[in-house]
Amino acid sequence: MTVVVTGACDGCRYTDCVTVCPVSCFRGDDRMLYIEPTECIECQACIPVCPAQAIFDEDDLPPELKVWTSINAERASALPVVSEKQTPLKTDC
Amino acid sequence: MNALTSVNSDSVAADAALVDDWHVIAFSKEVPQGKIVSATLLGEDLILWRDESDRVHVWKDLCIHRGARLSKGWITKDTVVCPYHGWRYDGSAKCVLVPAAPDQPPPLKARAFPHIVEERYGMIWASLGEPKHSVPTFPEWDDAEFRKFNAGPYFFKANGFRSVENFIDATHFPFVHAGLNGVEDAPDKLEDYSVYEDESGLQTSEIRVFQPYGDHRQVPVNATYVYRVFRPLVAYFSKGVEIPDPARKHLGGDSDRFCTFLTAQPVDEVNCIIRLCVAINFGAELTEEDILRRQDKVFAQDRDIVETQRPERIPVDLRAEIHHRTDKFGLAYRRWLSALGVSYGTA
Repeated sequence: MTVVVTGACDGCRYTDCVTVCPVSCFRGDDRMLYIEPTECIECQACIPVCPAQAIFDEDDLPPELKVWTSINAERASALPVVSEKQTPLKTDC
Repeated sequence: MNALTSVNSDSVAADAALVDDWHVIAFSKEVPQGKIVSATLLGEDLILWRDESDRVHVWKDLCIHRGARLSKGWITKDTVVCPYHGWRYDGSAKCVLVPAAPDQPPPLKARAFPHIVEERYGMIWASLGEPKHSVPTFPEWDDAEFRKFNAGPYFFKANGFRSVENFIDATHFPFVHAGLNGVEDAPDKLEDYSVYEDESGLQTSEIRVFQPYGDHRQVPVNATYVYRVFRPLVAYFSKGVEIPDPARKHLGGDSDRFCTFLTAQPVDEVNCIIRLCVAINFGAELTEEDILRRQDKVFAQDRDIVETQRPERIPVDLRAEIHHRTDKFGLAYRRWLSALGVSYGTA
């Protein structure tokens, strides 16, 4: 069980989520963020602040987005922590 | 008497991290010469007594002869007398008299069970094991600019870690301490803060809040907290207190600080005793009564809420309760307890 960032973040990366995360479990590349599942404490604070509605509890993932659980786990382990607000890649998400 | 509960023989064994650590089990003033004082630490019943050279002793509350409680005994000729057969134990824990055989030396095995002791900050510190750290340093203790006051003991029918976590939590002020440390109708928005860890424990960056009665002068202050946790059951804050009202600003200075060093005696997993050493560098006119009045009120309010928390043992599984970003220090505290190998008193 964890919380998962999905493709709606890709190219948006608004990063409001990282400002509410109590455990700094977000990782990022130049396009989007991912959640490190071994660090996420499932508080779900990030879900309502995402303007792109890109973040889901794993249990609530629509079937077509379930693939993002393993993508988050794989990508997060190789990426740096993002714990401070970044400039969004676009402003209309 | 500072033992809240009688502990039975099937109580849970404490972790090495707690056994091999220092814990405050009394104020120095609670243990005058000539008196035996009871205490319970991590489920173990103890006695404290002060000999004629002013040295404090902490022993297991047990006479090895027939298992009677030494706490029911008394002091005679600088020895502890067991109330059952009158065996006498001196400050080296050795039995020096068996009254039924006064002409014979007592058996060598007839000894009390001593624990190591230190007196610091008006408090008696003991360890059931071999401490891996020295007694934590109270930063203001040696600073003559600060007057120090012991406050408490406050008896909490609550877990020691829950009680410490409450002490290091700046967001309960407007609700638990409304009118004192916060304003219920206008709770402060807490700005993000940082948490640091080093060999002395955990520490926050500065946390700012408005307090209508933030120190003992009964004037509104802008308070700036830095919290620290030195050991699992020893915490501290340094609070800068600035009077914003121009008409009353002259009542204080620019560097006024109110610091509190808190210890929680883990009586058992779900009972603790809070003791404080408060240090202030302002308000020369403030009396000990002024200080204690406010401390007693604040900690009675804390006790009333902490005693309601369930589960009683603090959850160290970070998914068991919800941690908000503003709870970052409490979260770091729980994670640190877990890393230290503490399971006694945790869920």
